[in-house]
Amino acid sequence: MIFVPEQHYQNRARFSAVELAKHFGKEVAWSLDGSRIVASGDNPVEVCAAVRRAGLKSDEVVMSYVPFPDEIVLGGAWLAEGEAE
Amino acid sequence: MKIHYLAGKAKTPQMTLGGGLIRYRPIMAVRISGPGGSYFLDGLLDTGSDETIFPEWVAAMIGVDLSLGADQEVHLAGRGKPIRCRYLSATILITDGKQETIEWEAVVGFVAVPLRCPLLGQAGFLEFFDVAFQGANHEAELIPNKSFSGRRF
Repeated sequence: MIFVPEQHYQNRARFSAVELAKHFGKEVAWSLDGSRIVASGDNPVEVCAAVRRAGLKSDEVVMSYVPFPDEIVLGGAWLAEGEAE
Repeated sequence: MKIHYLAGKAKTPQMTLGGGLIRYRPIMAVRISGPGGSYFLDGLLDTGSDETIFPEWVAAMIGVDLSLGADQEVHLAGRGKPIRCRYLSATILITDGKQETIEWEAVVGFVAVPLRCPLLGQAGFLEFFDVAFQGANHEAELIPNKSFSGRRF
């Protein structure tokens, strides 16, 4: 069974703001071990397509949104963002 | 199962953190599966959410036909206009990455708004666990409770 190893988030945390800067506000696909970003973009469906093109199965990455450094997450308020658009 | 909060580093000192820069968020990888595939996504453990909600694009990627789902308006606290949510069954899996993997079936919601991160709320997720949020350690411990009827590996 494919699963996300314990080190996934520890490895992600090692990425500096400089390394992540080009991904702020984007959807990304992290490798299962969290050591690299396989694909990145504004549209998650396109990111998934890029994952497939990279030869990986859909459950061999972790899809994630990369917040801006000073972005404050308010949980369900994300739903209200959609209402405002 | 114990999960570690995801640390995010702010650029400027945060007032609510006493000028600190690191925000710890109870985010964990959750796998959602349907007839067409599986995806791992970062999900936010959200005790304030009545339901477990995924962005609509996920439904298409796992082969779930949203036209078959029950449709309901979701009213957001403090906001006037409700949003549409479609509900269908999916398989949810979580793991601590070393010892414990847990899987269950749940009815979850899919919304068309650009939800940045699935909300792992009460129905379909937290109802099946006794959860301890350990703020000082930046960890959450999830223990399946008597409501849980899924599988453990």
